Amino acid sequence: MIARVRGLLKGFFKRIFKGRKKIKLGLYGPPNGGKTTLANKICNDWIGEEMGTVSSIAHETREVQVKEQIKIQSNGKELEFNLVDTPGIATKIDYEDFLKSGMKEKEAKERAKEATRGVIDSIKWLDDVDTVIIVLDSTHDPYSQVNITIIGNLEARDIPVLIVANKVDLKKSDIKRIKSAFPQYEVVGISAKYGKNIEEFYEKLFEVAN
Amino acid sequence: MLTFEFIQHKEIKSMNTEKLIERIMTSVKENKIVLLECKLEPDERMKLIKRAIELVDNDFTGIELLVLNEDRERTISKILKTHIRNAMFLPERKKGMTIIGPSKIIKGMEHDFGKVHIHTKPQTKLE
Repeated sequence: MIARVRGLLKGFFKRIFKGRKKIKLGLYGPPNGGKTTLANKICNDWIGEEMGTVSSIAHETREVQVKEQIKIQSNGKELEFNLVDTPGIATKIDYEDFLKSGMKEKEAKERAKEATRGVIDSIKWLDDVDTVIIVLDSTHDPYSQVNITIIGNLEARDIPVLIVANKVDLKKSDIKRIKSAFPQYEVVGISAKYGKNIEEFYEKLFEVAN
Repeated sequence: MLTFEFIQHKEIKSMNTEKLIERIMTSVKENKIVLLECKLEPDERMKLIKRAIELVDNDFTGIELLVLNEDRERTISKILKTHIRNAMFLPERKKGMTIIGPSKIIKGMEHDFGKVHIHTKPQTKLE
């Protein structure tokens, strides 16, 4: 409880001194929203290298990954941050789901174990980030308890949030639904995979982080 | 058989978050669906998710949860009030309902127009 108040005060002071030091920018969201695809896009655009591997199988990212000293520029402004790519947060992990993806039982159980550790690490890292990009798959229902819980936590600690409605290249994509679910936040629709609308994403990131 | 366990507000109000989470998880691990007579705050929900994931093994796959009476109008003064109260006293248990169940049994939950729909997995036998 004391930690919670400390977190709130930390967020308050961070906002006072914002822009004066390097920020930790966290990528959060449920599994398979495209966090690592976006991390790779950002890293490729600004430092010319990838951050991690991507896959259609959930929980591909099972460890928190940090890429330091990324500088981005937009409209003559510069923003420097450490990018924190986190495993997707979920309320359940069933090794049998990995079996359906064609894995052998031993491999599926090991992956499930690693995925649980990843979720726990993601939750722990929530206390350490200064600004968060929530990456949601815009073809999915945004009213999930995981999304509401992550955003509610960040809101309670006054941490700036930008919501990315990813996968706008897909037919079922519905940005309006995400906007109406979280009307208090900036929502930008992008395709991290194809780089669609990425300029608007960087502009919004400057607005939220500065 | 599907078992629901109702945990009343009078039992919950004297519990801190950690005790409440252990109370919930004990029942959920016994394959019960818990009907909690209060609304869990986002930080309590995150702790509940973390605890549930810590307990995942080959038999227990995690939880499904649904919070009714979600308060979307959170002002800074409301947030500060809640945090100060939670830091100094026991967490304020707000009116509402939280449903938590094992994901091995529950596929998903939704609510609309005063109804709650709990979708169970096909292999779940309802006696």
